[in-house]
Amino acid sequence: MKYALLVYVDEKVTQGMSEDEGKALFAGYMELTEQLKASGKLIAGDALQPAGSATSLRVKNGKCLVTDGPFAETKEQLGGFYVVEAANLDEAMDWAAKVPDAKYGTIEVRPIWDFAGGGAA
Amino acid sequence: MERVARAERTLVLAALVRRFRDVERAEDAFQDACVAALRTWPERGVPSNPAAWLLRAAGHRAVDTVRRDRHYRAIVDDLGRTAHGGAAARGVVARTGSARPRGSVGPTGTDGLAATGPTEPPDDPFELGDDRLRLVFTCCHPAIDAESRVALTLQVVCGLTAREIARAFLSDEGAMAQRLVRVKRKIRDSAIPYEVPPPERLGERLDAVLRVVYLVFNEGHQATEGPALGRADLVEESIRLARLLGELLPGEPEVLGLVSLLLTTAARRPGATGAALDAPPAPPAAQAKPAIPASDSESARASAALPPAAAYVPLEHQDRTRWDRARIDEGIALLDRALTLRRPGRYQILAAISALHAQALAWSTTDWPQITALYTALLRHDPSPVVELNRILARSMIATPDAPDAPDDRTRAASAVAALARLASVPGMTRYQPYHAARASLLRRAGREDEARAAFAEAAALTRNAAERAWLETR
Repeated sequence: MKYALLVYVDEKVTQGMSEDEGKALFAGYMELTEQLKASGKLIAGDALQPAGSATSLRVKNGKCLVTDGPFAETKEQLGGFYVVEAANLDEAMDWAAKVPDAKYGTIEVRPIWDFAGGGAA
Repeated sequence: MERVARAERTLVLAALVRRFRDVERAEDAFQDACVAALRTWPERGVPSNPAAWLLRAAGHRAVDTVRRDRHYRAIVDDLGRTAHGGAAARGVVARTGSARPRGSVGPTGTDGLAATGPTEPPDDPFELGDDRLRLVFTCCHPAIDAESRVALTLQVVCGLTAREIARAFLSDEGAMAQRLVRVKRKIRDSAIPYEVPPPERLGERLDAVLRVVYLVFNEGHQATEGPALGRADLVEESIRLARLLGELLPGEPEVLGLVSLLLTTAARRPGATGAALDAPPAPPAAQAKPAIPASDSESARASAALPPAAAYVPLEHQDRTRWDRARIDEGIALLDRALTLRRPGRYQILAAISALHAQALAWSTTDWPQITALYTALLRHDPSPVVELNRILARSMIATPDAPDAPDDRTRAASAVAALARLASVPGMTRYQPYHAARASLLRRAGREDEARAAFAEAAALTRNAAERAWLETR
């Protein structure tokens, strides 16, 4: 099974961190990424630039409506993601609990559709 | 046939879920197997091992549905590829109705089929430990919201209908049915594991399981619907599950407390030991929030004259010599063991209340001050209106004949009515049968006969259990 681990954080919390805290957070991500790689579970993963850099659009009647900003103006914003291979939800949740921002925000665990058919995604 | 299917249902279903990792598919297949049994058993006789027969038939049926889904999935994949991507494929899936792609399931990728085709289950498909316990832990997984855990266990493990569960939750039947479907799909699609949690996770997953087991017990103890009081199979099933948990976790005082509670409560229910009469459930219970339970309050039912023959008998009038002393003694011994572990909790408190009732020689000599104190302690663990209701009732029973200014029964009942009025604004409370039953008996004790009659009528109207309603209607 593939799972997306979606990292939601309050950007103010991240921005308000001291230099040491920021470094520790970054180091935590590097360590987790290495662990995931070493165990062969990492499929993808990246950090997103702040929500202020987002552009949202929808197409209505063939017209492209563009909004400056993220999809929803919520306190916690999508700040990054991993896609991991895991045997089941418990294993995916174990990885999610290791995401450094789990201490500051919310990690949403979402199974990924398997359209390829056959066995595991 | 129906009796056999009911008895074997959980066992067969649990084995099917292990094999196919899909609760909906397992339930559908079991249903089909029952239909097949109805067709063939009357002609050929009931097989020597009905559970194995049902499992084999249901297994074949489920394999067929897996194949059918694969066939659809192949079509969907083709369309999805030509349409470049998942969103288009999803649209196709929506149009083809039942052909939702079934996610793969777990590291073995098992969907019940080997790579080369369908497999037969092993010779003794039930030998691999207790699948029912795995099923309970899956149904109580933290990724499922708390209300749905209880509902799911009641349906999947205990075979209750969405209607019965909706009543226990004071919720709408249609909404409950939808919730159950959603949750089964979540188990499948997010691959919630089908296992007893490893030691490092066991503790945290236990409380949810205990709540569920207790609600199942109450459901059986005081069946919410149907002509007869109680459903011994649910009671025994919940006791079996609780005992199993006790063996698995002998160092967990709350597990021991729960086993004790169930034993001493069931012991005061002669129906469970083969006698004709039934009794009300005991310490009423503080239930899995946010549900207000389908259990009842014994004090609420207590203050009445003798009931009609062969019917519902409130605790006050039960023949205590017919209680199951062996179970009471076992329950009290377990509670003593739990208390030595010195980690109190709500099940130990409830067990202590039940034990006090079980040990009392008569209604009048019951230790009401101690029971009231225990309810007060329980409120700290579980500040629910149902606990408060029971505390009010217990307190109203404390007679202090030696004290010169002690309030008489009438006065105590009147102040309990006033205390009860403050609970009326709790959502769902005025649809909660024990609230009206409690109010009715207190009003009668307070000498407010007209109001009492009206309250008994309201309680009766909210009671679907025929025996209990008959009793209430004579009030």
